[in-house]
Amino acid sequence: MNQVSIELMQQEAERLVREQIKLLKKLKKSPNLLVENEGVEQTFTFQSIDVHIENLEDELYKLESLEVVLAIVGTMKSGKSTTINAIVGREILPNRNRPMTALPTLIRHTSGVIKPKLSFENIKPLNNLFEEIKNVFSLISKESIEIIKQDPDVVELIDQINEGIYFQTSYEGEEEIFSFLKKLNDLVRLTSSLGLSFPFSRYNRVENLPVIEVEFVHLKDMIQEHGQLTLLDTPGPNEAGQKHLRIMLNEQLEKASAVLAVLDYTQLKSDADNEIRENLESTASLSSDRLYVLVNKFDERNRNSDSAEKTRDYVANTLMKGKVSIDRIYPVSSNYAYLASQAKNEMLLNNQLPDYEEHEWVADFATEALHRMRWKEEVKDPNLVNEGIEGLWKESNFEGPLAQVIKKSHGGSAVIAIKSSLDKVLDLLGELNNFLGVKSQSFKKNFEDLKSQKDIIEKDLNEIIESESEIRKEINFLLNALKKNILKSKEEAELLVLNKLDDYFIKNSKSASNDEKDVLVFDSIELAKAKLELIKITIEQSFDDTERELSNLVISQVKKFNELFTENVKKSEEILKSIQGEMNDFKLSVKLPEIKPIKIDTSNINYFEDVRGKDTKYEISSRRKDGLWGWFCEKINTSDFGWETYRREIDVYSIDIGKIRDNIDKSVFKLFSDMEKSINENINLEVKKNVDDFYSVFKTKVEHVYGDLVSSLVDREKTEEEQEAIINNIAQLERVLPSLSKDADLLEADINRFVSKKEGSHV
Amino acid sequence: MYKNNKPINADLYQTLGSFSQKFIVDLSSGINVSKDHISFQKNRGQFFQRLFDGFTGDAHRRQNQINQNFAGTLDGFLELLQHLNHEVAQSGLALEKLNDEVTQLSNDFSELAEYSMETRQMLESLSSDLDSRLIIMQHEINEIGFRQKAHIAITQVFDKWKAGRIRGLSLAGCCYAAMEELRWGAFGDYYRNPNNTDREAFLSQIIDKATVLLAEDAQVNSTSRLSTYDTWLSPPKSTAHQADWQQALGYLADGFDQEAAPFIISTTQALAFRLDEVPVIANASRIAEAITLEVFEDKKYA
Repeated sequence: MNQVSIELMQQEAERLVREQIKLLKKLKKSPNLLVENEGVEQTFTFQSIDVHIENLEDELYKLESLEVVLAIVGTMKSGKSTTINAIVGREILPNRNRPMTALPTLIRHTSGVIKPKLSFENIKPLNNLFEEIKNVFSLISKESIEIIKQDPDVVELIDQINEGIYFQTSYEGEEEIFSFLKKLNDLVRLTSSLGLSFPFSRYNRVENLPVIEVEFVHLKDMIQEHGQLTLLDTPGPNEAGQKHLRIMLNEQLEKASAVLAVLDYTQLKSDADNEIRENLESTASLSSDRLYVLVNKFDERNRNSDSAEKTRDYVANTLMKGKVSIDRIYPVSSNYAYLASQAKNEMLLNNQLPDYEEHEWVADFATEALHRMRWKEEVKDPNLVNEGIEGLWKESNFEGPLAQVIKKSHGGSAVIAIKSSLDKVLDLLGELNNFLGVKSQSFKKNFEDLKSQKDIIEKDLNEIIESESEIRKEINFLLNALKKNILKSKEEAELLVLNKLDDYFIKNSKSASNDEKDVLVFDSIELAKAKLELIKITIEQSFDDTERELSNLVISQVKKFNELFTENVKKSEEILKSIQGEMNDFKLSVKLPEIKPIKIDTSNINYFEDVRGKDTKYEISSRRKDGLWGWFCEKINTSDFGWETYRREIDVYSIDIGKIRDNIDKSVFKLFSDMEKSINENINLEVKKNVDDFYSVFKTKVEHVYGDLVSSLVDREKTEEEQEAIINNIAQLERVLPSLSKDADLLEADINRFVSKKEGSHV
Repeated sequence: MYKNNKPINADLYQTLGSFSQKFIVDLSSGINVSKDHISFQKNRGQFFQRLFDGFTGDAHRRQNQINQNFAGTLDGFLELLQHLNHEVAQSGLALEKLNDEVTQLSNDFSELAEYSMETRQMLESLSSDLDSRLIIMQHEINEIGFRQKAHIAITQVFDKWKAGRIRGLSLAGCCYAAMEELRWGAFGDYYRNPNNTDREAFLSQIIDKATVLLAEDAQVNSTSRLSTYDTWLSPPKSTAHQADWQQALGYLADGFDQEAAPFIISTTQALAFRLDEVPVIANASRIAEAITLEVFEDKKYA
């Protein structure tokens, strides 16, 4: 079966939207078709048509400017930021050898925007966090603040917070953007070192992320050929955002038109290999047919290094085990590409490069692109610089892969956008079908029949309202049960973890003394380490068990609810059928909203990781051996005095189980309060939203049919000529409906085929 | 710009009968009689001129008595019409239309005194000739056996298409040409008779047949969705007399307008823009159905 291209689907969707706008405008102009009947809602009114037209025009705009989204993934050292800067042609992202992407950021090519602009509407949670941090600062000692301030990066941020200078919703120019992104990242680290939590959950929707708009100077011609291009800078495996925003990120990787994975050529065979592989494998599972690999830093190869061919073969077959085909792997130099791109940008703006003594990148560019010995002179000559730019850009091997990726990737997100526009078209076609159908039908009936039909639908409407309230009662009942069960499970889980620890302690108790019964003492560090490892395993085991149990419980409760809801949806369909029966030969089109199964955000359950991970202090501390010297030091209570001796005399090692308990206590408490919050936010809200959506659509549609019938009764009181004119107008408008509906249905089938083929190729 | 003044290739009007039928109707409608002036609107574009030369040239060769310069005189036209009436007008539709035009002409003519007796007689004879032919034809159309004729017409047209005799056109163009052949032939006459209760079933049969042939020509199955502009409407690789065929198609469709027949307009005219009424993606059955309905729902000929 041949497959229709995205461009064609896009054009066809645009056509359908335009045709529908035309039809609505015609309907609005048809005399006597739209009547305002107070108190009764009809499918179309003058006002609602205007709103529909406006929405359709928005859809048209969206369709015309469909974006290609390139998600960029990579470890922090692979040169991900340089790669993005190279594509953009400006140093738009902080380029440091450390985690930098706190939140995923969108970088959108926008023609004519020379000065980059960052917009970040959803700034409130961060500014609330500023307040929170300020409060913490007022509570802790100056010494502690000084310790935190030892990290030079956060000093500026702390000063900003103390001065009450909050984040803004927009920043202009590289410097401002750069400084904002750096501070955002510093904020994540500061928050963590203060034991607070960063409001990641408030950024789990792509529309809440920061967006940078700027013209991608080197690629603008290429991009224009293939639609809009937006880069999505995703946090790497070690960056804070990745763990917390995993679900959103996975969704984005699935939606992205293409995923560009950036690898470090110089590290391909190093220890980091495993980390890269794991990360790439999970990316490949989400985007196999859209995954492209840039092997960066290829300019750093030497005579003994692998050739381009060998590198591609290694990445395709050894590193990726054949999951990515060799023709999607490109050895490149992002650094060359960035330098060339940045230089080109400057040349376009000023026809010269800035002073190399002030701008380090100019010297970097010149030493690579110009004559090694004469670059200081040559850099002043625009012709030589332009030649150098071309040469270095070519040497970077960047353009080929990018052109290919952009060309091939005009998909994914575009299909979703087309589908969402088409859904609106289909829905509106259904409304038009109902409106015109009810009206033309009613002219074929006698007045009395029409009146009794109206009464029957009025009864149906009441039935729907009753059924809705019944279902809402059931929902409340179910949600309460869910909550109760989770609460119970919380108590059990708390007990389970702590009891295990207590059990462990009782069994293994070798306390040093009575007042220190929670401390395990060992003679050698190896023994202590081994025991600690054992404790860790035990605790982790019970965490895993609890995690699984909880997860299963929530899943089964939600499943039960989904079943009940589906049953009620079926009942609603029965009501619809009986209404349909009233309509004789005219087919009422009511597409009830799809009932999405409620998804559980299991990432919340992974808060256990925090307990297992670095936040829990499984530390082994050393103690002074009992004895006169120790006693002496203790008495005079000076660490300065006894320090050297103290260090020399260590030979007892202990594990403070009490501390571990306290820690776990705190973590478990936090875990469950987070979970409760999450259940409330996710499940409760989602269930209610699902039910609200369903009934609001269902009720509105039936109400509209009722309203149309009422207005048809009014039509029948008009003169014969007027009635004749209405019938003719309806017939004219109805004429195009069947072919439009047919084309829309066929396009929907094209899209579904396209999506299922894409999904098929993932497997 | 190169101007082709050669008469239309005979192969064209031998293959497409609809072409001659429409030509003779148009020819008759080209005679305008107003209060003090009679003119023949011959100059209706280069293509019509070539068509005219093609038909009259033939007539001329066979009928020496027609003066080479007859084109300017009413007598000459009437003589030509008389001749073509027998030679060309074969379908009920053409006869009906021709008759309408001649009746209108006679009405207009009666108001004018300055024309010779001879001209008047010629017109009357043409009119009565047409009347009697039409009565015979209508009688034939109303007979039960005419159904068979309609059936044969369908087979002939689709065989012609299948055999590749409709050439030099896009896939949708072939479909449209076939539909015009049907309309101007026995099938059209059958379909226009409201007493025939199976006319809709006949139309569905035609749509199905056209769907099959379109899909075969495009080498896909009938539900395959293809680009309308790159497949269905795309002109064929250059063949002999391609321009003639395309112009002929444009001529056949010149009575259609964009609103009522967007598919036909898109198929037959080189438009600078796309019509939103025509889907960008379509399967064979969508094209076949749209063109068929546009042709047979055309009120001017119904």
